[in-house]
Amino acid sequence: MIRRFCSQVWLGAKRRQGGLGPAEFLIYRVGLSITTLLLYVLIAQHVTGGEIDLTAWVIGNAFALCIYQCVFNIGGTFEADRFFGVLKIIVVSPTSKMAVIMHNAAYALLTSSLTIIFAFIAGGLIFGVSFGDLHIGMFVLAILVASFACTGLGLLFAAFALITDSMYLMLNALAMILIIFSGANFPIAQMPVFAQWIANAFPLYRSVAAGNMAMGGSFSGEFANLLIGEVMLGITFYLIAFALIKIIERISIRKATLEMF
Amino acid sequence: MRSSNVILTSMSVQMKQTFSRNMFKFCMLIAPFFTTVILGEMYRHSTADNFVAYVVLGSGLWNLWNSIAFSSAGDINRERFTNTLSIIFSAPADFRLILLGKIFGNTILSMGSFFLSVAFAIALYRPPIYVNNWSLLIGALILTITAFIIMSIFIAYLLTLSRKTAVYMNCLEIPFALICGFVFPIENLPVGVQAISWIFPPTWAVRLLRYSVTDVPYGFWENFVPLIITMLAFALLAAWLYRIIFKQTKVLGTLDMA
Repeated sequence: MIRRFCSQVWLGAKRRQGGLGPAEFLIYRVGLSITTLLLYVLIAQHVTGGEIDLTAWVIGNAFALCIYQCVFNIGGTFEADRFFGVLKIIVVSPTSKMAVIMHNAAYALLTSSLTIIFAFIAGGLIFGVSFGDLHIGMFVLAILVASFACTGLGLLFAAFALITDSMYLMLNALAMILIIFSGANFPIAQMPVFAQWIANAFPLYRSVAAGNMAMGGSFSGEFANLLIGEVMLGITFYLIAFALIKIIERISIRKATLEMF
Repeated sequence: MRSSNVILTSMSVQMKQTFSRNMFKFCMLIAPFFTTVILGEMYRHSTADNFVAYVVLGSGLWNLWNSIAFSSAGDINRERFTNTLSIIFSAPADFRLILLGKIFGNTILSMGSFFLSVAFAIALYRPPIYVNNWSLLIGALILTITAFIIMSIFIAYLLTLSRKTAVYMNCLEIPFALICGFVFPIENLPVGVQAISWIFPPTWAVRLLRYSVTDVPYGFWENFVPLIITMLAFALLAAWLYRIIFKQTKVLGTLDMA
């Protein structure tokens, strides 16, 4: 079973990356991630007059990059299947739809973690982050938890592709909401109180804070609380996603309007 | 068919098709709000001059560029997907005029995202609006839109021969916002990267726009002249590119398979 799962993950990865040559992979996956991080950190540099240590922005924006993998890759699973004309086959097949998404989720979890690490190193070298102060264990833990929670949110949204054709609108809006409420670019405390409540209901807000604590910090109760909160949030997303996919799958079979928008 | 008719018909069809797409509605109506909030919160404690130049104008330009570039680059992909690319390419009406009509249509709609961004920035943050020279601002805005149109034509031609349009068009948004200094001055970039910025007309257009609203350490002519030169250069490049595409397409016959 594990072998079959791994082979499906590998097939999914090939479907996503197979069309890209090495140069395109570098431009699209690596170059674009670094450019996105650079853009936000350079804005921060301009706003702060270049006199403040930019480590927090480098960490925050590296974490925020997992949005593109987790939200778009997983959230767009069924949308991609619709595009390739296999959505109907998948819906009527006896296979668990959750398993179909989990194949993508495993791949997204891995790639988003690698993206964060790579972007952090690249951004850190450009903006002079002091790598010596980094607690690697805490940092890796924060990365894994951030990817886990974001993947959960992606799973939750993936189900909507069975009842709407506006997935990319939804996913793009979600990505921007996550960037705003992640606290990667500005402190959420400067926003109205209701915005701070919203931030708590989305992934990244806690893991970005945890990631920042890994710089010059050590394991503490506050760090553990942040990660536990994020893991709980992720588990909630997974559970809702499980239930939602079951319900929406039934609706889509009953209505039979999968490709008739 | 007269050239103006081709452009107008293509423009009108394009506007109807474009506005029916949900993704364009996102770019035009929803994205401006989010970008304005991100930039507004980042620049919240910055000076008033910075706020107008980099939040009010910056978010407007960012969204305008996204809408124009995404739609213009994506149109080629959509035509290919619906198997109409080779038809419009070989139609008696000039392909260049059809494409120009499409880009004009996208531009008119995309202006909505610019004005919405500006409106959101003013409504949400109520910055003191200070403009050095209103007529210069309007002139600079027209030049900026012209620069964006020329860049869009160039990009659309460049992507005509690629079947990976979707990959490349996703690479248009952030890198151009970065290189052309939509939301921060390009002087913050390393000198080597600034040299790349100077190649693109939007860089000069944005600097001219900023010159019209705030006190900046550069003059009108040192931006206006490079802007005209780079626009002409890209227009000529686009014309040259079209000849190559035309030849390749006729010889190889792989437009729909490229």
